[in-house]
Amino acid sequence: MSHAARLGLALTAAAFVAGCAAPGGGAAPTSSVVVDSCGKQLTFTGTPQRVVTLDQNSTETLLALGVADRMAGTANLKTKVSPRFAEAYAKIPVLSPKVLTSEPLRAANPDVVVSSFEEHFTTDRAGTRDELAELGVPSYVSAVNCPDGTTPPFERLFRDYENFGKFLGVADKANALAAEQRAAVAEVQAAGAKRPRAPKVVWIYSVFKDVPYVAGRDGMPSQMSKIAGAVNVFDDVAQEWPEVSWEEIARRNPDVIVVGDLSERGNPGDKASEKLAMMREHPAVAQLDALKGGRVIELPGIEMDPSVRTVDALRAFSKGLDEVAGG
Amino acid sequence: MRISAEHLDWGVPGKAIVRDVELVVEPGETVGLIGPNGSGKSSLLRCLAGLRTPVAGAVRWDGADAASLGPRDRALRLAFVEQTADTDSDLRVAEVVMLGRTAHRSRWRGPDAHDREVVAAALDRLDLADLADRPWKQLSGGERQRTHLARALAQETRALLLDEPTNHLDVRHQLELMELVSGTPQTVVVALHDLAQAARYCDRLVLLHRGALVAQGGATEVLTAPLLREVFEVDAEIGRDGLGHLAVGYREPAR
Amino acid sequence: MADTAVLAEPPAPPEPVRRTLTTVLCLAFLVLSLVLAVRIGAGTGWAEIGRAVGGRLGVPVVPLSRLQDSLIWDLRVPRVLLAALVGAALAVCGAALQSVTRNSLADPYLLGVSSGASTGAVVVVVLGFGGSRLGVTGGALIGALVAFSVLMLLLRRTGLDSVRVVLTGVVVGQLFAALTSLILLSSGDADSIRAVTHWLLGSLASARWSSVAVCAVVLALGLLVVWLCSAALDGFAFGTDTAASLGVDVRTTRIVLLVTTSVLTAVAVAAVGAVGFVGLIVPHGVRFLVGPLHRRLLPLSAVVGAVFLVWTDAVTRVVFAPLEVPVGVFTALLGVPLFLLVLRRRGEL
Repeated sequence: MSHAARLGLALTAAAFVAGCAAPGGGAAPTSSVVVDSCGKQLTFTGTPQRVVTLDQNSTETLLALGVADRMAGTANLKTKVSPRFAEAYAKIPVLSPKVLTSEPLRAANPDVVVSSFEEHFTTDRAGTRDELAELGVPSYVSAVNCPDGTTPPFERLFRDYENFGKFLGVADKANALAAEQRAAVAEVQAAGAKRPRAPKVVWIYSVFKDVPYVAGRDGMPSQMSKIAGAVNVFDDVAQEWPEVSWEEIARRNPDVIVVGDLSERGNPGDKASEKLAMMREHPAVAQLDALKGGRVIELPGIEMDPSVRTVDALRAFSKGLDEVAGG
Repeated sequence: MRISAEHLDWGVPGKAIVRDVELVVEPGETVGLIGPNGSGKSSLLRCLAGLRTPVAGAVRWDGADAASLGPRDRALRLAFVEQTADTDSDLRVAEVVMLGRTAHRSRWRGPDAHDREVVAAALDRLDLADLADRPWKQLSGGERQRTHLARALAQETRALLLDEPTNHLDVRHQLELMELVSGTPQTVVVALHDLAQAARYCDRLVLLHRGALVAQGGATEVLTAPLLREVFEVDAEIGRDGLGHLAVGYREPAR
Repeated sequence: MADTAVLAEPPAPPEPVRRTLTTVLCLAFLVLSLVLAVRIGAGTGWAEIGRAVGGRLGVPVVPLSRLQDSLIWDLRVPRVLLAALVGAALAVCGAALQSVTRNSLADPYLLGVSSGASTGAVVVVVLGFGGSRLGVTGGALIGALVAFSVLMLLLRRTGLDSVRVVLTGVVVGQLFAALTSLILLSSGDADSIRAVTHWLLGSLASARWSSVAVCAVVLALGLLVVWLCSAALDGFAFGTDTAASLGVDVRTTRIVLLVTTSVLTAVAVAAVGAVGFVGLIVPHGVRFLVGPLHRRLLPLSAVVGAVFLVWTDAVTRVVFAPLEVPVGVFTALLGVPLFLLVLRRRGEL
């Protein structure tokens, strides 16, 4: 569509565009690497030297893989990056503190764009994946964002690592990371299997205008609950973070309450302690045994979304369950 | 232009406002439309102007059914001035008068030299040349009324229909306007409140009562004490003033 | 360039030199604004613009890198042109509707077209075609046209008198706003809320050549149709009966103008969302400059509307760069003081 329009508007466009299609990378071309990403086949003829990430999760994953020196920019930080990545992160240009749009993205001259969410690739945001492909820029979307119906979410997360390893030329490191996290998941799973009965858990991510956002069936917490031998009480809602009422939370009477801490985001009510205070003031929620008995687990909210840090949350969740639900 | 109404009925759903009016206005004639408030003067005038489609009967202009003409054809034959037509717009006097040239122009072009001449002449005739550039909002009621009349003249039609044009005017401008209206070769139908003025300047009067035409003819035939009592519910005495013009005197309303 | 061709569409009247000079000056001002606005924003200097545009005009220049070239040619240039086209369309619609409805507060969204567009956009997002932006644009366009069809259906047996048109339009707008809320409440995820916010405020970030082409064609035709109704629009100043007695086919003209302005608005809203205030203030400002006659008011409103939105969008690109602030926020921020100034100068405040 846009190509046709361009032809119509510029007489010499076709020849010109063909003529200036220069590769952006700097490394010597190796044999080309092909990677599947959310319905698109990405072909890399050289190792990308200018990676741009569109959100915090992709940024942290790539930092964990140690490719900071090849990152041309990041965007859309939800909270602070994890302290272990802070030093490397500080050296990468921040293209936008919020959602990155197509102009600054193209100005950064990337040779691959990495995002956790397909919804970043619209014309009013980073531009469509097709547009970028036409410009010779592959766009990688996290496998977590494209469920295939069979692969569990954590496995899809590890598939991302392996894909990054392939096209960024850090296969060893990526495979090691995947193996390490797989082991952690297995460990939690083993501990979960030993639990005498599955505790009912509610995951409270954030509270906006007194409406709590909880984990539904489609997010990582539902998976984490299963792996750790617990049950997410809102598994009947087919959304990632549905908004529910406090009354409904009270009605479902969870054994354990997980509260997301987003204090780094800094909005009022983002701290876990503030959310707990709100719950203690609520007439129905305050009566919950879980709350009265202090069966509350605080986790960093950012780790509840799929990223390289999610396994940390899984470990902490499992440990928390041992502590609060063990006795 | 000969204007005629044949068994003309008009109204809104549930209410007949003009009933079975038979009227012929001969070319060049000045006919005064009189009657109390709500007698249907304005409605009849609008029907005669082709602005309302009759419920029954017909309005004919030189024999042609007015309803069958397009808006532009109508505007080239007949000009109409409402009782009060106000606007929020910042139009200037000359621009309002130029509106009268709308039907004479093609959509594609603006006013030309001829249009400007016609407008200048119309402004002159109504003593508005000095006010040509004055914005509408700064005009007095009388100046606005004269501007509308100038606009109607600029339309260069053979017929002119006016709804109480002297309403906001001071005496001098009332006289000048009626002088102009009665002197023009155009066919004129004018609704008036002032019976003496109607009698003085119109060739013929038409008296309306509850939507029906109850009398027509010369001033002395229409302005009679019994008719005025029936229609206006006043006791009137018809006589002559010091200048010999017909005058109407009213007694206190009987309780 | 496509844009100048569009704005020069109404044939210049064979009138005094002064007027021709004004026309030339206006168009020069417009072209200058377009050129300057392309320069404003990240990663573009005159040299780069010269290389991107010059290359396409056959000038032998060193080509830019593919991404830099596309930043200028695929994003910036269409964005500036779309801003001009949408600004022009909204200003012309506002001017025409203010006359048709005899309401100085009329703007292109008075008739509920933008509410319909929001509903359409949300429906598309909720039903899940939201992945492609074309889907949302199409949904907005369909929603806008459905809202307008409902309006015309409700008005079909009336004389389309001003008060009735305005009231019915407001009611239809409320109906679609309620539908949007209902859909959002029942599906209520962040994505659909974001889509609505986008339609409510308007943003030019998604401008591409395809939308420029569509808007250019629609604006050229729409502006011509509205301009040909100039005399009728003038005649509406004194109400229906006076307009009719001047030779204006009141009902037909109203239908033509309502349809034309609604289609123009629908296309503009579908392309960039409901950018507010341009359609309200630009006609008032231009009337203040050249008076209320539509032969002059309409083309000049188009030029001023275009320039206003081009510059407002340029401001949004740099003030909070690299954040993308919806241009609608700034049209109001810049528009309100300008509007107050005009009102004060006219002695109405």
